[in-house]
Amino acid sequence: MSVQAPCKLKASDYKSGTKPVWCPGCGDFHVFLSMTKAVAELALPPENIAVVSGIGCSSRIPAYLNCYGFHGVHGRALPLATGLKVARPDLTVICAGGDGDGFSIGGNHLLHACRRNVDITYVVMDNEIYGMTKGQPSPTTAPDFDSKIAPGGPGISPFHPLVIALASGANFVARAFSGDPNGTTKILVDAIRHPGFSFVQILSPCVTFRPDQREWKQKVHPAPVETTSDAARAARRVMTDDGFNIGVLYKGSRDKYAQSVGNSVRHERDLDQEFLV
Amino acid sequence: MTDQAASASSLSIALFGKGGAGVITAGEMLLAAAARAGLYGMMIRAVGPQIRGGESAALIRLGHAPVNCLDDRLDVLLAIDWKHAERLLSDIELDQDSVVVTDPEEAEVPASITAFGPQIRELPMAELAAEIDGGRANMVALGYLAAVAGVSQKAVDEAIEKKLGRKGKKAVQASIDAAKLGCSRAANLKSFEAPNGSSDSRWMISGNHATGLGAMRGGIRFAAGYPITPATEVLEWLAPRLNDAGGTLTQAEDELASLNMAIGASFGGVPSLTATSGPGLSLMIESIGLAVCAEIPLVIINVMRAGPSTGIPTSTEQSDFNAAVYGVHGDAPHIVVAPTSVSDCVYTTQWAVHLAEATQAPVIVLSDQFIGQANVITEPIPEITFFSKRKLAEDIGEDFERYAITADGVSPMPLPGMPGGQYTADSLEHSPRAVPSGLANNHLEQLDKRARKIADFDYGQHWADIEGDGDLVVITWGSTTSVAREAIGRLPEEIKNRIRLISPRLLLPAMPEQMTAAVNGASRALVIEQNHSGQFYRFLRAFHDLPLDVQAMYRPGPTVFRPREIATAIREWSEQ
Amino acid sequence: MSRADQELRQYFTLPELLVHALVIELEAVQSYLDLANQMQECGNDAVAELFAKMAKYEQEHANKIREQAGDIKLPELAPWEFRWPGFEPPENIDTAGIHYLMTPHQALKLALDNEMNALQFFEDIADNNTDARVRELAAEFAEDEREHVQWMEEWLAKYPAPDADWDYDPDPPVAAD
Repeated sequence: MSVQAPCKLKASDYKSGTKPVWCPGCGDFHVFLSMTKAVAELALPPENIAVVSGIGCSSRIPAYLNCYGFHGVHGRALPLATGLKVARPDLTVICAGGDGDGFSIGGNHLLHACRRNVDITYVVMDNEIYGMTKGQPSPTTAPDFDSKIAPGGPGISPFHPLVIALASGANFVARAFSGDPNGTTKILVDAIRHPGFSFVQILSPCVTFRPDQREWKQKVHPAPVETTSDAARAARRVMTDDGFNIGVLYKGSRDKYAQSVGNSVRHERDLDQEFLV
Repeated sequence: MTDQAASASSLSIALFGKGGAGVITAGEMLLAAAARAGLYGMMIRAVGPQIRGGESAALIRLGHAPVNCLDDRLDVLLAIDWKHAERLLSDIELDQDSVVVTDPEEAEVPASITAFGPQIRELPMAELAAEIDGGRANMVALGYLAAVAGVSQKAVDEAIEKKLGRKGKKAVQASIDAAKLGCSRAANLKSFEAPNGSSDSRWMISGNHATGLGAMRGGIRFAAGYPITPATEVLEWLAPRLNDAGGTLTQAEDELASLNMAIGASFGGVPSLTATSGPGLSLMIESIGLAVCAEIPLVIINVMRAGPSTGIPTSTEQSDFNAAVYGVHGDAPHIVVAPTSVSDCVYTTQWAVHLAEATQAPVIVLSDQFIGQANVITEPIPEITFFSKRKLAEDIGEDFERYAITADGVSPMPLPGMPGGQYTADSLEHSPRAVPSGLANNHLEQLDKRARKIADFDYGQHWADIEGDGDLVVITWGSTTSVAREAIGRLPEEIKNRIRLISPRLLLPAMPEQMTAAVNGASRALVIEQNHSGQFYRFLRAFHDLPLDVQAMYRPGPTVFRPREIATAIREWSEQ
Repeated sequence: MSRADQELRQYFTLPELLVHALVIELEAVQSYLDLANQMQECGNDAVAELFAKMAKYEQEHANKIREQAGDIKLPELAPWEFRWPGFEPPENIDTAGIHYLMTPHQALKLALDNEMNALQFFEDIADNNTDARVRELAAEFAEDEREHVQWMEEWLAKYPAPDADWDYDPDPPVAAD
């Protein structure tokens, strides 16, 4: 918090005033806080930020922020954000959502957003559950998690978002914890600044359907290793860690997606001329 | 032959061959040469399912007046070979005046062809081609057919030069020489007359390219798409041209993505489009509802093919009407338009961009495989200026309402980057201030507003093409319009004079008042369309209380309508 | 909390101590206000009111620290440059203890924990810092917090401990989207 810079907007200036629907104690409140701190820290004018989301608890975040936002349909936030950034490269585009939205119904888009490497930051608030539909297992839920729809547990291995992101070509890969809002702020600032597609998984507990996740605060720990630019090494690390390593895992230097509106060299072309016999 | 008059003014040719024979290329060159020789014409491709090596046929019709559909019968069927001919030639019609040209070294002319009793001519295409270094049978065929059409050698040479110029002088010369050989063998065949004057000002254009041109003219600067037959050419044509105009096209991972990319770009203020066909449209439907709810201008080109499901991807049908009109869940007012011919794809697409931008709503353009992939020779298609501007927010104050309740239903839209205009476009129902709301009054006022802006928009004269003022109304839409127009032209005078043709370019919203006025004084109507369930007919009955006896004639693809089929239907109906 | 953080607090300068003290209160204000809003949204007015009151006290405390800082120029630190004993400033509520049916007793208990955390924070500096002026000011701050702890304990005593089934809700959660 920059207490002595009155010209700069405060984090709270990035709140729209619309009251969140989240349960008291939800990790998403902290992610929301971290986002406002991150954009305040970057001194981004609110009108030059666009936050795009899909459907789910965490996807409600755009309406709570004082910036341009798009709360679209389930699973399609990344393509919408991609179109926006390609059309308006001058904007800071942040995509946000949950594990169901991003890894299940929108899973295909994650692969191609990583691969395409458009300069956007994708924040997934991962609570290993579908909260808005009342507690069904998501792609990151453990195989033995009991629920009404999958009694005894889904019985299938969880999806490993960070490894998938690395394998698909994301240019920045990090894991954060909502309960560490200042650390999360730092990672978000780093992610937004880094060119290309930045993927940030934020462990964000669901107090209603996963009360066990209150223990995450004790489980998380800073990653014991430095950020690497070697994707293979990063993948090995993240596949063998306990899932609670917090920090920036990987920073790549792949060229970001270059195609955008206004970016091409204009050539005067008489379209009519082309059709002459 | 029932329609001598029509046939006399045009020449219908089918050029058939197996994969590698190059019949499509030869067909395109013939059309180009005919255009240079002052003829009008149309060519459509019929292909087997194989990517490579499959049989294909170029169906070409040349004429002295603009040609917008195929004829019933063929004057000439030239086969470089007869491999799997039955798979593509099952719906062709020949008669005793028709000429079948076959290579004596190839298989016998199939019994299904000889059964028509056509004249058979032998042309040793492979042998003649072998006389020339680099010569090919399809070029021999080209020269032969050009001679039959009365197209000058000069026009053929120019067409070859234009098409093959990049391959070098040797390739061009070999083709010219092969064509000459073919030409020399056609001397004894009755020739069609081409003016062979200078007609450099004409265009040769396909419906899919015409759609791209209309999009560019309308101001589209962002497109996203996923490859799908038969819409891919729209995307491929647009990609480099958008780039050159300072825009771009993004290839998406699927149609769900392409539609959402277009929504994102349009939210950012850039007029945006996607192009697809039936299966892709189905995937996009949910997000079309998003564009309705969030009020995002957007154009969706749907080049229809035979469905349901994967259906017959390379064949035409007008069976996505219901999906386009009724597909979106909830009450979701949007616009559906249909081009009425290949060249009308330019105009209708440009109009669609204008409508989308002006109403901040998605507009679906229902083209189809027939007009999309047909090439026609046409007069240059003039540019029409629409204002095509969306109403943007100005003087944004403290109490700015993105979804303000306005008289015309259109609310000024802020774009990212405009200070103070920050709002969240939402798939949730919302208040005028764009805050999610489940309140009955918010829901109702937003539903009303979104309905009003579509229903009350001034669509002007563009909503339909209306020809004639008879008491018998033929109502059709889309690609069937051209065929119906020719069919009506062939009817006996006493029937023709009683016909009034109405082809609505605007399919949704329904225009009951305009339609009622358009049928004023008429007694009966016949609806003609190409699908299995009379989709537009049922829509017409549901939304228009017309003071007429309304009947319908519809059938599915994959074969395109021919004029006689429609003329017969109209005649029988008129005599009831 | 890493050893490095602890050591760094040993070398806090006066402006650093001041900015930490101030931000503890400012963040607490924000944290309490957010929680008050959340509780109000859930219809838990008793706890909402209590958190709003806490926010007001913390704001007064922040104003006092600003006065104490006088003309001393405070350093500009990014959120992650502060050296807290945990993830957040010591007076931010631990949201793991937040529940929509929580009682004032539980809310006050959380608030008391915060004050004790803050007390611990300043005592730590008062005991270990290398600069006498810093130690002196930290001791002053610790004294303030000790006073707050006492208030909170008195306040807490006025509210009964919750029943065993305080979090019982006969209705299931709502499916929103």
